Amino acid sequence: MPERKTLDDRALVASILAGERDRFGELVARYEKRIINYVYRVTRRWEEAHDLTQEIFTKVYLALDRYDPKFQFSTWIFRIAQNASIDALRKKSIAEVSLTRQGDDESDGKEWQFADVGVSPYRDLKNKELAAAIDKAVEGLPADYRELIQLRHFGELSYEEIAAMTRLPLGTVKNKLFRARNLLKDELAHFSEPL
Amino acid sequence: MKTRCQQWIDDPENHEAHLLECDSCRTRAEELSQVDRSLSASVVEPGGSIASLVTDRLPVATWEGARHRAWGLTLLVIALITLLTAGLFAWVGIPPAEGIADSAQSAYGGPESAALLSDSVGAFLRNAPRSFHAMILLAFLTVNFILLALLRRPPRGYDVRSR
Repeated sequence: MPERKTLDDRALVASILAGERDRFGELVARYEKRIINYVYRVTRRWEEAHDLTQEIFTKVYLALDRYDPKFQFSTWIFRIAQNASIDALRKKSIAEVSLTRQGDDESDGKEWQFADVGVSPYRDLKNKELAAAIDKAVEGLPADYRELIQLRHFGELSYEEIAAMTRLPLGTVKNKLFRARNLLKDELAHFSEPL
Repeated sequence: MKTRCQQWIDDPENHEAHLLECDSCRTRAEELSQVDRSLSASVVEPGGSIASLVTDRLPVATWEGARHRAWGLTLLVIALITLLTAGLFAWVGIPPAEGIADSAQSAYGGPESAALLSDSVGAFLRNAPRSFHAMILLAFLTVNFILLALLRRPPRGYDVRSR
């Protein structure tokens, strides 16, 4: 079987729209890790993230003719992923999502409880304590900082892509990410070594 | 005017040189790099690719519908239906071209002519022989069978759970 030429995202989308339906698998393979990690961070449940990621790719396929090649494909697909993740969260009750804030009377001592994340590769990580601390620290960030961290570190988007997606000025994205990372640094200060 | 430290904070990538001259920012950058490494290490590696899982269940999108439509078969069915209609008109003694033209005229000629045609067709059907009714039933079933065939499911539909 002749080896297929590697195409960039736009060319790949064009070839799929032109009838090479099976090439959509290439697009999925290209983005699945980033999308699943991003969705996992938003939904907090691995199994749900896995299923939702499949749904997102189906939505992407159905809407592929509406993708405007003037823009980056990555920002388009992540916008779909973001909307789908938010919709999934909305469908769930607050109790199910289990973001229960405790100790509101002591504003400095905020504690967050998370639902069991289910069967996750996280369990394989050596330092579960730090992994949990990262989860907690990211979840404890202000919503706008958290969104940027999720897009940057779990969606692996560039500053420019994040700016395009969030419609924030590039400088604001960089500055907010800097502040977010600073907050994370403080939260994770008692861990001397990374994972 | 922004200090160099602030410039680095606002745009670290473009002001990396500042780290060579500022101990405080360099220390901070190292700490932030550690945060980045921790975040990177917490990225989950999916157990396996979902690409085939997704592509096997892909529905037919509206934008690719035309490609899946059997245009040859569609044209053939249109031709068959036209022939069948003409045959039926000829069978009851109406010249096919005239019958089709009258039908078309009644369809676009306003409610009065439609009612007139409806009455005359009704009267004809009431007096038609049983074999004609059987023929109409057969034609109805044939046309609907062909239409169902045209609406065939895509080879890999969203509702196909297992292969």
